[in-house]
Amino acid sequence: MLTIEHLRKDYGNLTAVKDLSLHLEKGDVYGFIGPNGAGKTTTIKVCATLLEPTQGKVYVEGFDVTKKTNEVRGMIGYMPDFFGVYDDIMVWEYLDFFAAAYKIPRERRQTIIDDVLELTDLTGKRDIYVEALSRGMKQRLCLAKTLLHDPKVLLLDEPASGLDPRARVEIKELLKELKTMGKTILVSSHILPELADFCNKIGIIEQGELIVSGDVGEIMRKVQGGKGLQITLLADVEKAVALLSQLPKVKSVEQDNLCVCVQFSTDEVENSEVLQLLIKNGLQVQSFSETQVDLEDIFMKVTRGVVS
Amino acid sequence: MISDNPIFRRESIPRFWRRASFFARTGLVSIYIALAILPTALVLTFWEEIDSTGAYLLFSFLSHWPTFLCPAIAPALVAGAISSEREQKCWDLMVLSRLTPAEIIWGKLLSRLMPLVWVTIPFIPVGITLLILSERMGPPGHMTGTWGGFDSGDYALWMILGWMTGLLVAFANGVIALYISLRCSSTRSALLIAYGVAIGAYILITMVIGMLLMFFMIPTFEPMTILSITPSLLWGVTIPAVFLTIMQRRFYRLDARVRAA
Repeated sequence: MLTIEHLRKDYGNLTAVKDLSLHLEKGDVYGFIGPNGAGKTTTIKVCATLLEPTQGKVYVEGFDVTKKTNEVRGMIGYMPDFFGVYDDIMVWEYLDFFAAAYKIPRERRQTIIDDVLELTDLTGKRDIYVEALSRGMKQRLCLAKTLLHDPKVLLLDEPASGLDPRARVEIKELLKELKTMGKTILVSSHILPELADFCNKIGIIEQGELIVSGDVGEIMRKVQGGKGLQITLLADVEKAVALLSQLPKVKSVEQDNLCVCVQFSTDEVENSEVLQLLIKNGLQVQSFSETQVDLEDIFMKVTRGVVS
Repeated sequence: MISDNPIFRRESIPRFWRRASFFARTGLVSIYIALAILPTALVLTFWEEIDSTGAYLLFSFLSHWPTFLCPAIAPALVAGAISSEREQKCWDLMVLSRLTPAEIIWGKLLSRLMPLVWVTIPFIPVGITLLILSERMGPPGHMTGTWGGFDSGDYALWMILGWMTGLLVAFANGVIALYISLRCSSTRSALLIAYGVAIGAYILITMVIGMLLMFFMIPTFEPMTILSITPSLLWGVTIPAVFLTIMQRRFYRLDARVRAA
């Protein structure tokens, strides 16, 4: 659905994106993660036909974005990180303007506008002037506009930036709904928890380079490097540490008060065997669980905290 | 059809009008009509007192405002058409829609030039009254100075030609301003450059062409009014033809340059 091949974008002497390649299948929700200035917006703008790549190719459903610009524009819905809205018109007028701009026939416009207003939960704001909307509502309005022509691919650049927690949750719920509608979504953000819930693929970009990219679970395993266990005991923590350290394929054992964290070099470790070993040796286990790695951990592990 | 153009439909209606209530709109229309007929009403009231040296001259000067006012304000109206959208971060969304470059250009241009129509309309009764007056009092002195001399019988022709030329030059200046707006990221710079180019080049080029026509190329051509108006007509026809063609053909490339910068 969306393929980027060896993309490079230079602004004068500054290289914003270097040799970036990725591929999104239909229905994929790809979280594009990176610090500010990493090259996320540039990449998305190239995909949206707004910038020409210095090198490389970008295809949307097989159409080259630099050659088949009109076809691509009909298939994508782009929501920029910073955008303005025409303040002097009402919400429905704003959507009607863009519906007309997308050549949606007059007789179908009303139904489509009602549908996107309902989807974005703005039905009650239909006759309100755009300038009276909150930032979160404007964000939803922009998303509503993006959906008017029913695009197959959504390019969303920081859709939740600058929003309060409630508005952020609302946008997240909306994106989840779009995912269930089968849209292919490329969504960028530097706020990781907002992506963790609904992305099936992620890519981490730093200084214009895609450091990791692929399936979320796969990347988590790759970054973690093997299974991790978190065990809380009632007593005899030192004994537990000694026992666990002797297990095969153990990478590290760390003690923190009554809690022991064991990191293995592989996933092929049976939890039950480890638990059995502890109990057999008379240790009282209060809790036993696998260590959960989140996007934040991955991000911190793979990036160096530099911007281009 | 321009009336189906969403940009024209949205931008040709001013913000204050969009928001005004029925009563406010009625009030505004009344004020506008009053302003439009006030000069004429004054002339008709003091018909007998008007002499050829005072009020008549002043009044007749009013009839030339469309000729000079419209070309002068056109760049100001159009220069922000695209650059202001860039500043407001609305431009990308419009470019990505299915509107063609021609639709964007004509929608922007005509909607932005609409105020010229509203500025010109109040001068129509002024002009008509002046034509009637000129039958009695002869052509105003400054008219003969501007256009190089003519009979009172030609007065109506020259006034209408002057207006048409003024509107044509205004359109040309608007086209230049739109081109500059397409190439600028800030409205302020677009405005300054548009005025510099449109007005500066207009004065320079029409002056040069006028001098060439009058002194070298066809020195015996009569009446001189044709020669003085020809450069403006040339400007009004050539500039839109050239710049509209460039804009329509290279719209995305010109826009991409600004974005890349």
